Amino acid sequence: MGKSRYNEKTILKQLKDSNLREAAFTCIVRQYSQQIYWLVRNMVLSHDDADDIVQNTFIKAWNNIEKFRGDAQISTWLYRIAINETLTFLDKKQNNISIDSPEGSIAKQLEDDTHFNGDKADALLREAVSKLPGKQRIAFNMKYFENMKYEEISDILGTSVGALKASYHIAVKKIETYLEEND
Amino acid sequence: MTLNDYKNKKRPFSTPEGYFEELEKNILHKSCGTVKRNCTPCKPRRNIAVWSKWVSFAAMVAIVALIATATHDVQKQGNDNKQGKNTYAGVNNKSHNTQTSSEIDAEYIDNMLSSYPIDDYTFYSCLTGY
Repeated sequence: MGKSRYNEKTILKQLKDSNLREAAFTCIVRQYSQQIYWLVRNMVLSHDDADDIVQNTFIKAWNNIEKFRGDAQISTWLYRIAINETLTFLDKKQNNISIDSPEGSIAKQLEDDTHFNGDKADALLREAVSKLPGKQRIAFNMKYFENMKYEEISDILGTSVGALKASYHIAVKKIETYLEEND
Repeated sequence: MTLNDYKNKKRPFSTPEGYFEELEKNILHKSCGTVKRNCTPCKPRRNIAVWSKWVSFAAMVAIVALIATATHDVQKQGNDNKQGKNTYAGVNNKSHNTQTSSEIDAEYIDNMLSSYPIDDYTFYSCLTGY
């Protein structure tokens, strides 16, 4: 069966109709699941963690679908849910890290990961990014890895474009310093 | 290495084979309880709706005009029959005419006289055959 053409206006209309809601949601999942996955994966690094977060994101979206007013784009709404889920996950993970875990083990974990195909330099970069504080890390990921515009990121995070630019600039400096020190 | 050096590098992550198809199924199963449904968003019908409205309107106008014409024809035929203007009955269909014979004759004669500039004697000869 061929892919139907995604039309946001039609989908929004269908979401308001209880008989068509499931079909519309299926279209949304098909359209955005990969994008959301890669956004999350870049932040949490592990495939299994990303898989959990993405599924939770869409389940939450479905449970709140009647509340979605259509005042933002569906993608913006989904990204917000995904980022909240990711931040919650990262906070939990941070709290669960034992004191004995060696610093800089993320690069080692990545190199041992079967779903990581990068080299040492890639692993080190990801490690450097993981050292950034929550929102800065997310903003950096969206700008650098997802190549999103500042305006899009601003819409999703609710942060001004100016603040995002400043945050990104600081993040770049931190990462470059980390890479130089650990190269 | 600077960050720019990493920019052109390929994404270093991979997924298990067929993962995204499974992901869709899992999401739909856990959320709305369906495994897979047809994704068939409504096609925009706006143009067709506008076009069909005009066609319907034109059809209505045509039907009304047809009925009006048919009704008018029937009425006209009825009137024509009453006034003796039916061509198959002939011009001098006296059986349907309410006028008297003397009036018709007088009218007929007057018309003849005005149409044909002849003297009274010649006219009398035409009428009587002498």
